[in-house]
Amino acid sequence: MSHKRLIWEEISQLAVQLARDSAAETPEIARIAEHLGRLARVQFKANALQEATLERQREAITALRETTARQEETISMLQRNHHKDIELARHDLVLAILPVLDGLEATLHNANQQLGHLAEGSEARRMLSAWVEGLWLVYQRLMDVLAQVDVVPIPAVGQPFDPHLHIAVGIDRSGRAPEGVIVAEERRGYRMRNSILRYADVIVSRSVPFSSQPPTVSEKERVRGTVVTADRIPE
Amino acid sequence: MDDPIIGIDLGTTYSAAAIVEDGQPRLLTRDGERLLPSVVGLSPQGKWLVGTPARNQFVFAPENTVRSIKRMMGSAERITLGHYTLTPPQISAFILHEIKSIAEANLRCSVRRAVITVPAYFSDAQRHATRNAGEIAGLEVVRIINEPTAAALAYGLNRTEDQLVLVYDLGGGTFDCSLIELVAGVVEVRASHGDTWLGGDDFDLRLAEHITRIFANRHGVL
Repeated sequence: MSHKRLIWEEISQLAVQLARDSAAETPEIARIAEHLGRLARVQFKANALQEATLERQREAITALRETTARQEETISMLQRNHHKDIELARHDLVLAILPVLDGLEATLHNANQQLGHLAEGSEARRMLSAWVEGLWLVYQRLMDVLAQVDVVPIPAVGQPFDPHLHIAVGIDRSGRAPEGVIVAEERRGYRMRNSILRYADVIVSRSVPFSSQPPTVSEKERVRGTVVTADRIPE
Repeated sequence: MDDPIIGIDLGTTYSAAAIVEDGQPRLLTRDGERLLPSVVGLSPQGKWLVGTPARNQFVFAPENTVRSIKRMMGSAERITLGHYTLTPPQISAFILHEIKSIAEANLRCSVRRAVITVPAYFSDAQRHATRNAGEIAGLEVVRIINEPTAAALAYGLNRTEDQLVLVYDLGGGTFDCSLIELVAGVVEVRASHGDTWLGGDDFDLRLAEHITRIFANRHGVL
């Protein structure tokens, strides 16, 4: 019970006591005291009602705050999912576009080769050259669109082979490049922000011969190398 | 999630992990990839590679790349990678450790316990080697389950009537067929057989050879 209600409870009791004590000698005071007692009880009830109302308001505010927090959490989750869905859709779309890009690159490559076979200044060469130029612009435009969604080609030729970016699909033993350097790109790779959309298929320079056998030796043949204890994996 | 137990399919060519949520298994992914190539390698820079990067370097550095280690589990073979000589469980432990990391990233908690599946025909030595691999990877292997049994459980067959079920498991590198009996919710493998050198990779290879032959005949190349 609140302090205010206690005071009115006490006034009510005092008024009842006063009315009882003074009833015989001073009936006027007794009536006033009785009236005061009634007023005190009414005030007591009013206070109780107000407190109950305040309590209900507090509960309603708490419930509202909880609902708002849940709503915000739901909105945040929906936004995250929405963002993920967009990323996934974009990822799938870009993946589907990559073979088109491969086709365009192959076409440009072949057309450039054909240009080399045509006589300088010939009508055929002039027409093909214009066509290649147009196609090159289309290709560049597509690359610009992809760059806008953070899709960029993975550097390959001349770079050291990196298994986190490239797939070795062949080796080159000509010695024209240092060991482990990429000498040719079979299929271009692309990355989208920090993730790999498609690894680059590459040919890597390698002059050091290797065994065609899998890297396995029998127990008896185990004579070289560092023996790692059986209860852990090496760092 | 407190102290979850993950399920691991430690496959010959690919491995995968899953968690059961609300009675339903959910595969744990990384960058949208649900399967981890069961390949371990040592890069030219001396860094350990597990999964796709290891597979990517196979053609360039086959002597430093191990595939299909599952076929050697339980044997006395040793694998030499650079200056390291490793046992099959140690190689498998790399894969399991990577799976543990994937699971922890997905579940956002530490993962210490796992159930690992093995072929029904695996011997005690092979099962022990698998358990050992899990322990090396920092996992408590709470149970080793037969792969066909796990498949039956995943399909909820133990919750239906008693029956005999044929489980057909065509993986990347192996093929098995198992006859399992389900009685009063208990799953028992009655028979299991297969070919440990036949899988989807062989189908791919045959298709590639076939297409190459057609291309060569049609265009007169190669």
